[in-house]
Amino acid sequence: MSRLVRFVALAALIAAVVPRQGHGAAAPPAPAATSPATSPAPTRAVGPGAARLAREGPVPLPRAEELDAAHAASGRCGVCHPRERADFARGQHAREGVRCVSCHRGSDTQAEPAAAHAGMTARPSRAAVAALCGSCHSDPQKMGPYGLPVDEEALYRTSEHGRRASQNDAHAATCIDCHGAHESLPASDPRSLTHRANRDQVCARCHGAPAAGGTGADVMAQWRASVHGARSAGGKSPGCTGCHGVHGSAPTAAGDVGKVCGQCHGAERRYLETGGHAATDARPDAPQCAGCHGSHAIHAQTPDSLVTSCVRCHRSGSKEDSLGRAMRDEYSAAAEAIDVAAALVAKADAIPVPTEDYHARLDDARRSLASARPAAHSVALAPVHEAAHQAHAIGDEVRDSVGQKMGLVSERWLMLIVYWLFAGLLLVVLHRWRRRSSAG
Amino acid sequence: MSADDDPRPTPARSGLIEWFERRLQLSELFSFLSHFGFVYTPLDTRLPLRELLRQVASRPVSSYLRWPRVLGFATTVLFGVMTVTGVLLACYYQPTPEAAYASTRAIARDVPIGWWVRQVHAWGAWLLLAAVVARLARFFLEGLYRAPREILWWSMVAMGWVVVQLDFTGRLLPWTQSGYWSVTRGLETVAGLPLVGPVLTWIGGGAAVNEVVLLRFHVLHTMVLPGLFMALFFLTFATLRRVGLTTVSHAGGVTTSRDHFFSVVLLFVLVIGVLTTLAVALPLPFLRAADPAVTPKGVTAPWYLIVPALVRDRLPLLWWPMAALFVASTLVVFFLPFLVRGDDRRDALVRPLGLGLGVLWMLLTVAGLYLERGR
Repeated sequence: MSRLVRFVALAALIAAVVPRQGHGAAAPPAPAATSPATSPAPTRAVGPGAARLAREGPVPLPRAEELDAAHAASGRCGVCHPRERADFARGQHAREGVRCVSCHRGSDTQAEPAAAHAGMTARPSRAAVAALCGSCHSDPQKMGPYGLPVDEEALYRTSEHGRRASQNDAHAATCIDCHGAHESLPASDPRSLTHRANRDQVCARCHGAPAAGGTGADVMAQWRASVHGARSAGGKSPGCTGCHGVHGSAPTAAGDVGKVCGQCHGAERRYLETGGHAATDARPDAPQCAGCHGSHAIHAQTPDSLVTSCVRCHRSGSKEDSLGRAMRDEYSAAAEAIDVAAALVAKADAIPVPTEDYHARLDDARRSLASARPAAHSVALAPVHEAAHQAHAIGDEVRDSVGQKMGLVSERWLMLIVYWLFAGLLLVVLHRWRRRSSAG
Repeated sequence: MSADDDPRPTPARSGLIEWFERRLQLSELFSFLSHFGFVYTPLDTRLPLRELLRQVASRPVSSYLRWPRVLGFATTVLFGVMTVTGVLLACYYQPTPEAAYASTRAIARDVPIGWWVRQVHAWGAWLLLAAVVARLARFFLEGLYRAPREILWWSMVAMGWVVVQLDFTGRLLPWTQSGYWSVTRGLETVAGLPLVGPVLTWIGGGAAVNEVVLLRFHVLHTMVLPGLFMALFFLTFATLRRVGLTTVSHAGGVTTSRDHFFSVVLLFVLVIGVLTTLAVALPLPFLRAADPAVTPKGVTAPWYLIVPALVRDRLPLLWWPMAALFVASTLVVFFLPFLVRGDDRRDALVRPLGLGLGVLWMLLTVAGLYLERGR
């Protein structure tokens, strides 16, 4: 028994030691490779790196393969700048032959700090960052093999961010604010700041509520509570960049709201532009999408909203108000017709009589009603009536047809009456036969 | 037996019956019918059929079709209706989870007169259960379990059991949501009974409702249990022929065969009429298909299992003693004739006690239905 215990203890000891040895063997023999987390002051205790470590605390230990890449890409810079080395090792650039000196200049082969830092740009200015990144990312020859676009820098310069950065605005976002500086990753990587799941939080760092470190109104909270925000998990609903663009991001211009929304809401835009406020109101601030739906806090609208939306601008009781109500009534009449038919179909199912066709027709009616909703953007009764009428008609047709079919069930009553008549007749005959025989 | 000492006179007339008579023991075939309660007088099967019938018709008949004795024959008629409609249903029904619902719907919807067959079978189940329970109650309250009617009592208690099992297995077959979950809750309760639980679930194919249980229930419902029920009819009428009809609740005394025949037809017409009226006026709804993944709200165990289910769910600490009591009380009911043994004082004690317990059970069932509805 004690032998077994000893064996288990030995095995545990080996298991605890071996990975460390393996790690040590995989790491390069340079002093920086000895775990900085456990021994923050390596053999060379003097130098700027040691001072920063003492000030900023331990750096998370990179994985072995990251250490290899970092060593190759950061040269001797990492000896004194372990934090940057570790960040850089996590990013994509370290794997693509970009080195510290590619952006910062200086030399990564010199051992002496003074010689290594000669001609170095420690922090490129905000105005210069775009050009620095663009030196590679705007070069078709360099980006070609990756299939990456080369217009990002040009787009950025047209954006509100780029315009302000060129004026040396210290708050204007540059490439590194969204992509990260050393640890930048492709947008397809879930760890990347620009990945679909993280993108909106990156915008919120500046455009969120002041309490969260942002500067603007809490558009993020409004968006999250909106119909777009609630459905963003599926990836089909627009986040910030869906409407504002990516590198060329800018506030949506007053006249362009319809176009932006119309990218997805094509039918609504068509109705709005052919008959709606946009077509009849020539003023530059004529109500567009945001006039009724809001901009960031967009909520799902139902026909009932027609009752509350119109009176926000138009007098209650005005002809616009009654038009809104009339349009709502068209929709609710169609919805009611579908509900009545559906209730009748459910009743028929419980008998049961065959209703498969009616279920399919009811689906048609519901689809038809859903596709009739954009017609309200024409702000006219005729298109709404025309669109909702189809759903209404299908509902009525199903109701009549099911009703007719259920009417057949009343034949059962007829059968019942016939049975009792027959039974009565039979009993009368038998009764007479019984009496005759007892008399006889 | 040689032809010489055969007491049968040679058939004088030459008709179809006589043609058969020369080739077949028609009277013996007829006597088989009598085992199911259509004829009560002793039969001399050596007589030719015409003569036998004339003899039967000339004898006085106990008025077996007057209340409350009629419950016995009503059970026979209802069972006959259930058998005929059941066979018709079985022509279309498919006992697999995939096809059970669709085939039942086809019966109720697409097959001509299928709706009537299904409704009559469903309502007939309620009436059959009611008739058997009423008959059991009547025999108990009139003390008809005492000697020499022990076997009558046993066959009646067994009939009660079988008819409840028929109802329970029949609930699952259409594979509707309410039937499926009602049986699931019932099986949970049955499986938890001491001693008999494991045996019953073994017979039923398991405690979890699946395709094995469905097939097993189908076999039990269409073959085993109806067979048992028929055997119990045989036992009942064989006993009746020996111990005679009850004389306690005389209602009408003796009638003629003609009257009796008229009453039989009347009963048939009434039973089918009542069932058809119920089927047309109060059709039992055809519900959604079973979804084993979704427990619907307000689903209860079958009403005869509500009280045990309630104890099991709400008073789990009392379950074992209560379940033992349930099982023991079944045994007490079964062996009631031996417990009383013709002792009048004991008999006088048993009836109010049994009546009280029965009423208590009914009250608890109603309370249980009320409590479970909200779940």
